[in-house]
Amino acid sequence: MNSSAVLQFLGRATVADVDEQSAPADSVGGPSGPARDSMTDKAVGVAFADGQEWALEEAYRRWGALIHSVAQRSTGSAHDADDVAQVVFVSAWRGRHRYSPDHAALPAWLLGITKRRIADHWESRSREQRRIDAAGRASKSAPAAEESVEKVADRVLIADELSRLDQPQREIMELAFFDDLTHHQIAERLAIPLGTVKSHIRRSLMRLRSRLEVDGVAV
Amino acid sequence: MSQSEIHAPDDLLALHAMGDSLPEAMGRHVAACRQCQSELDQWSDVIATARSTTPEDAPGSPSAEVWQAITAELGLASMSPEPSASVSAAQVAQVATVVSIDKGRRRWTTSWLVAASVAGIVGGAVLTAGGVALNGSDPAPGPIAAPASPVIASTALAALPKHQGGGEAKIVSTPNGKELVVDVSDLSTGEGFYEVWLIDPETLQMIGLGALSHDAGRFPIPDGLDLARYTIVDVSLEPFDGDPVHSRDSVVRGELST
Repeated sequence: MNSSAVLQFLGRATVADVDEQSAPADSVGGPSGPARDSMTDKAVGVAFADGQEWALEEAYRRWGALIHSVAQRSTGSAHDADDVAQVVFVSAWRGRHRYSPDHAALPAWLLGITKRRIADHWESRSREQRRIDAAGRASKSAPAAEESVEKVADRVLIADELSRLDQPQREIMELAFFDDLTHHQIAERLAIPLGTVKSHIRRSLMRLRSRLEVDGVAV
Repeated sequence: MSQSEIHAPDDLLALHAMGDSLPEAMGRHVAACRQCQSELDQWSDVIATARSTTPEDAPGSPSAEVWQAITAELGLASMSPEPSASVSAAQVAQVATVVSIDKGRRRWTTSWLVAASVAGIVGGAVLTAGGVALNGSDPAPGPIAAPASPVIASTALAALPKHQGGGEAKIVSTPNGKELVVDVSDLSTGEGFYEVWLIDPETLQMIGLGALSHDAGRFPIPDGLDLARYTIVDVSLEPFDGDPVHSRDSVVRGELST
């Protein structure tokens, strides 16, 4: 095996080191770990709307990082993002009867709440600012105003979906998106027929788009 | 129906948005067709969004206190007797050590994609690791769990893309020297056999420790092997081809930590 082959194969490593302490106790009932892992997002959404407590835990497990990332990218602060994530899950649970699994995917609904909570966050910041700002000058615009929560969420979702592409699809998309290679160049680089490269790109793009359409911010 | 009324297929528009040219007649149609233009715009948006992703878009997971705060505020304290107990993915993400061993030119893209995956917006690796942790909570007596040898280092083993399964690996000290104890479950199946490796992420050198025939195995570690360097435990699927090198088809992997 030559060294570049080793590099290529090692480059895809995903190594997670799990704390020994983190053996979860299934304290809230519902499906057990492996069964829960294999449940569809929709099934989690249905159980969530139905008020089954394990579904809140599962929703947090699946989408806590998504909500947090979007909040962190929007507020610019990990601490504020923690606050937003907390408020989002608390208000989602309290308002679960308003969630309709047939209308939107649960992550999309959660992102909708996230969007409003981030707006609240900036409003309260700007109220504070106005109080502090005795001269009554216009307060500085919040970083969130520069970019909509939807856009941030789209980027985070796409980043996530890209990370889940199998090989060689992921490498092909990286070469196309980040290295700006043409489809011909990718085919040459990877010694894959051009038609195959195109069909991988086509399918990967469909996946990215459908992720945005399914999980993107619901209004 | 004339040529100009046939809308361009969606997949051709997707590729067109990536820079491929359309057949001439179709190109003329698309240029003049509102519906096709709108479709094309949507593809262009997806592509522009993808191109604009940066390492910062990789998620940072919430702090462990967030889940506690949520359950406390909702009066669901009983859900989580221990803060770490319920939040497997977030918890795993929080303690995860992300290692990208890409020495190649696309280092940052790969490493942030790996980070995105590990930090776990339902990242496969994280969920797998979470699943492992769940399995790990089951008392699993067996030849592997039994010996009470001191554990020097350990890691969860998480599935690589395209693969499934998980497990645990640890280095134990025995009277006869150090051993790598591997315990796996639900590994992807395929033609061939599983082989256990230790890899040095810096030099990418690897040592094959032997075949893993069941869900568990113990492998003597050669005296003098520098465990500070060979920190990656890798289980690969090897074809019966008589070729002793790594097949490049890794199923699960983890990084040892003390």
